[in-house]
Amino acid sequence: MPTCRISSSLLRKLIGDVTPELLEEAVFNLKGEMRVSGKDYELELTSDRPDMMCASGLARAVKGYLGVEKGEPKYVAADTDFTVRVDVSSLSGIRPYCDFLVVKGVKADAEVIGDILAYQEKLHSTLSAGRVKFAIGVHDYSRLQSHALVYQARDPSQIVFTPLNGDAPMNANNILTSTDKGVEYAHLLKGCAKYPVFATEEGEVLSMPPIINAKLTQVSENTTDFIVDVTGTDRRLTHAACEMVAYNICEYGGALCRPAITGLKVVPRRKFRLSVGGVNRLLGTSFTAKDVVENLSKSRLDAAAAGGAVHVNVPGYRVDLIDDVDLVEDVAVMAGYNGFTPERPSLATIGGVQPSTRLASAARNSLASLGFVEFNSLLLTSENQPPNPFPEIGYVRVSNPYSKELNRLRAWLYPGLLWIVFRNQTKPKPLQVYEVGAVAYVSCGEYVQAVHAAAAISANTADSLTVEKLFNSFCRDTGYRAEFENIHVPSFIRGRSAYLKSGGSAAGFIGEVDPSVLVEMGIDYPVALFEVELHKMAFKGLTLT
Amino acid sequence: MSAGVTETEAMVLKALGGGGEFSLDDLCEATRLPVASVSSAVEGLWSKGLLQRSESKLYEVRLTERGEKLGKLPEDVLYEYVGEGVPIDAAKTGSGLSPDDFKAGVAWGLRRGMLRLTTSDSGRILTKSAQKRDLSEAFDKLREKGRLVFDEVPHEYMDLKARQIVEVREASSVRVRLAQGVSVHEVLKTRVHTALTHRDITAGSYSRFTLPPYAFGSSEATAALRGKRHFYKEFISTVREILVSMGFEEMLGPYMEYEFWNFDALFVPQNHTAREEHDSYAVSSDVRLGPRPSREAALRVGRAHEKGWGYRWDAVAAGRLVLRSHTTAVSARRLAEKPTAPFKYFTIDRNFRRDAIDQTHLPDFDQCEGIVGGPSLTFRNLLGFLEALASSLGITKLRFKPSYFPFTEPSVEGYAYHGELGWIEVAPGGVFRPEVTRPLGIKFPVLAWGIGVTRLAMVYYGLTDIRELITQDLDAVVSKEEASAKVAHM
Repeated sequence: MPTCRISSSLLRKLIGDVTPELLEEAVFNLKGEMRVSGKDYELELTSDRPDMMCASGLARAVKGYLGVEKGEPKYVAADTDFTVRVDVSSLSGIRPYCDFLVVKGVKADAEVIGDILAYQEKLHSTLSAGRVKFAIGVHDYSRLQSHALVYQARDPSQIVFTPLNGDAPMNANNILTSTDKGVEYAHLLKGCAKYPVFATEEGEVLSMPPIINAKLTQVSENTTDFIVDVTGTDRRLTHAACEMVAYNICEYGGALCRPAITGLKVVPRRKFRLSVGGVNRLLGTSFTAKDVVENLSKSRLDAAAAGGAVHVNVPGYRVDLIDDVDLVEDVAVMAGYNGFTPERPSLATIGGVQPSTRLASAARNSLASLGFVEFNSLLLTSENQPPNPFPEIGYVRVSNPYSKELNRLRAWLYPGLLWIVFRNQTKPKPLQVYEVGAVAYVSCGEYVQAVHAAAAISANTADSLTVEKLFNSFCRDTGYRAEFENIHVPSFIRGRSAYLKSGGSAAGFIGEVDPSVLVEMGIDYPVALFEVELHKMAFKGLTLT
Repeated sequence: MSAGVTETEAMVLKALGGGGEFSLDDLCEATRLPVASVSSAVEGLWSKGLLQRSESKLYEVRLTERGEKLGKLPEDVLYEYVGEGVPIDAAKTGSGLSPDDFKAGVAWGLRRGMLRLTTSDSGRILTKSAQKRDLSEAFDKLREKGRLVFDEVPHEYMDLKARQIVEVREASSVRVRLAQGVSVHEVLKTRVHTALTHRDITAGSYSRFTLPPYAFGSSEATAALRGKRHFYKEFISTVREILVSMGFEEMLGPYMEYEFWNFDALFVPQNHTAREEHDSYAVSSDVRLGPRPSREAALRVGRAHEKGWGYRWDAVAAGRLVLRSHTTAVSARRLAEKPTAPFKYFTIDRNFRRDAIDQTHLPDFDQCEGIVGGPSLTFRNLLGFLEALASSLGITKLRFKPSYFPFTEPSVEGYAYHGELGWIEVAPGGVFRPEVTRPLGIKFPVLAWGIGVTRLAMVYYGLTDIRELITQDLDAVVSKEEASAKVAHM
């Protein structure tokens, strides 16, 4: 879950007086967790609500939950003389989508600016997956001579400006190779003949998305008027991110203006028609249309009841609202999950387990009663194991292991048992250990999943007779029928091992482990063991049995 | 006098019954018991005041290594060999003695007056003088007995000690006799048996003795060497049993999975971070996996993505193989089989995540997952299932938190209250989104939930490190309480 750090004093300024307990409850019900950390709150939030990952965004949601403010906030729509011309044809295949909003009259201070800039970076790293899907620029427009803006892709040599934190104009290629952000994000423009640039028609550059902003329009604690530009490769998220940032700035008292954009279709607001009966059928409740409207308004949505349905007009920043059910959840959340009476339906179904589970259970009981102690191991194992007793069987390997030690699924249980014997050499003898569990391997190019049982005995002497007696008891307990084939099994002592066949096909092996294998693993005592395939799974339809 | 003598004590008493003093060796011989049993019986009888014990200092004489090698004393060998006279040089080679023994034999033979050395024309002649058997007899006796014990060591042995043929050690000796006024006959009536034997029962002698009381809890009895099932696997079996009792049927799916079932069918967009290389394991083996999703299902899933997420869905990406990251993939497969409503299915099985192994993470871990499908099922029904499950596991306080999963809406996280740990997450769940059910051909609500079995097992067993569930230490497995007992005690 994404985390963020929010100043507690800033949050109090935005929400008003609220006890930490009440705040924590509100955050809990908004799917988050909150911890006090010095003067800040540390928050963990679910990824569906990126609009809440800053002080002002969280404050908007909390105020709704507490009923302090309801419905979609009415950020005063002021007029603006800003225009944006989008040169769509130049941007195709580079960063074709963009959106722009202007916020003016904000009373900012250092803390507010800090919140806005941190939010921008939070969105870049989470929702945008590292500026891939969109890149945000927040600018102080008071320095601009012209209010006629243009977004287009230009030849890198024609892009020259002083980047943020720079002290002289540079061209686009220099920015990519010699600024920190340039180096960090250059890969996003790799292969592009032209680079996107956001500028005025007079040639004043605001930014070169998704790399860096210009120094010219850098925001400071004295900034009151902002332009938010978002450019990207994902149309829906580009539009949503622009609203998220601009709306969250507006929470600090700004007025929102939409510049006239030419060359690009405006993403329309989404409208839902929510059937009240549908809400109640999904939740098992008996809400009236009024209840639904009230709860949606606490979720900061404008809703109106008409003819047994509720009409909801959804702002773009709520990226989580895709289907009716998403609005139903909002209703349920605001009504309070813990206010619902849990109700267990009486469905007449018959329970049961798979045959492989029953067999595993019989095998586990048998081996435990024969004096073996059970172990539980990971399915992921390493290459560093004794030789494969069935060389025709392949392993299920992963191409991107987290650590080299764990790069394939186990096809056998016995290597794990040998490591356990190694770890417990100093314990009283005889040492008897077993595991019953799943294995997976490749046979004739097909994926195979099976349940195996393996048991090992280690003592001053651990010979074939001893292990065969135990195996015979195991077979009697589990109804397992096996024939011995006295053929040498790799990694066992020659003449003192056998393959096991069950129902005519190879099913396992038994015998005394070769001392050279033991010495290699650092085991000082003889080990005899057996391993059998109890059950090979097969697809019946799309699931296994 | 304390009551009751044991079987071995009785045997020792009988031996002492004839009167007189006995050493432990004497008693071993008389009772045919090993010395350890005899000394513990003597200790017991003495503590009961039934015998008198005297301890004295003794000397034990044994042959040295050199003494063991000698069959006879060298001077005896020479005495017989030289007879009426042999030149000394001839005797040196002819007597069969080693040069050292020959030297010693000549020296001691002369010193003890057994041999005589004369000088004649033909050189120095060794002849026998007088036979002396004192040392030889002492030597022979020791050879025969192996060891001899004396209050005071006879001078013969001191001489042999000086010659390093024997060694003398100090030893303390216990000698015992019956205490004054003890009647063996009376004491034997109080004989105590320490254990009931087969013979006691068949011979009917059990009625004639009493077994000594055994103080439970005071001995140092440790756990026996034994077999045992693993506590965590048993915990999972217990959860499985609870689910079956609630009418859930087990479903299983493959560990290696198409991205389609692991992600696409669950409405996880193809550009979601969970699908990237750093989160899920990509399979590199050249391998086929069972039947592929139907073309119809694939198309519908793709359309749901394009409508809901607004991007162009790629069927090739959906066909890539990964190690499944959650058991919800099994639920998706089961739903695609269009089971008849109403139904309840569950699975408890492994999943894989690219994580370092640490106190709270394992790269493969178990999830318990259930789905309930049928017309007219509601979100309140889901809460009802979570509550019933929690209560079967001994959890009485449960609260619900709104949550987020890409494939359910509404989504919930069930928190259980634990006396020491406070509220802990145990049961996530939700109602499958229509984008999940509709493309698979399911037209009614499907409730889905999970139980954090691993987390619960850790809470039940008071474990703070998840690695304890995959311990390789025998004692850690053997020492754990049975899982069903743990749940019953919760």
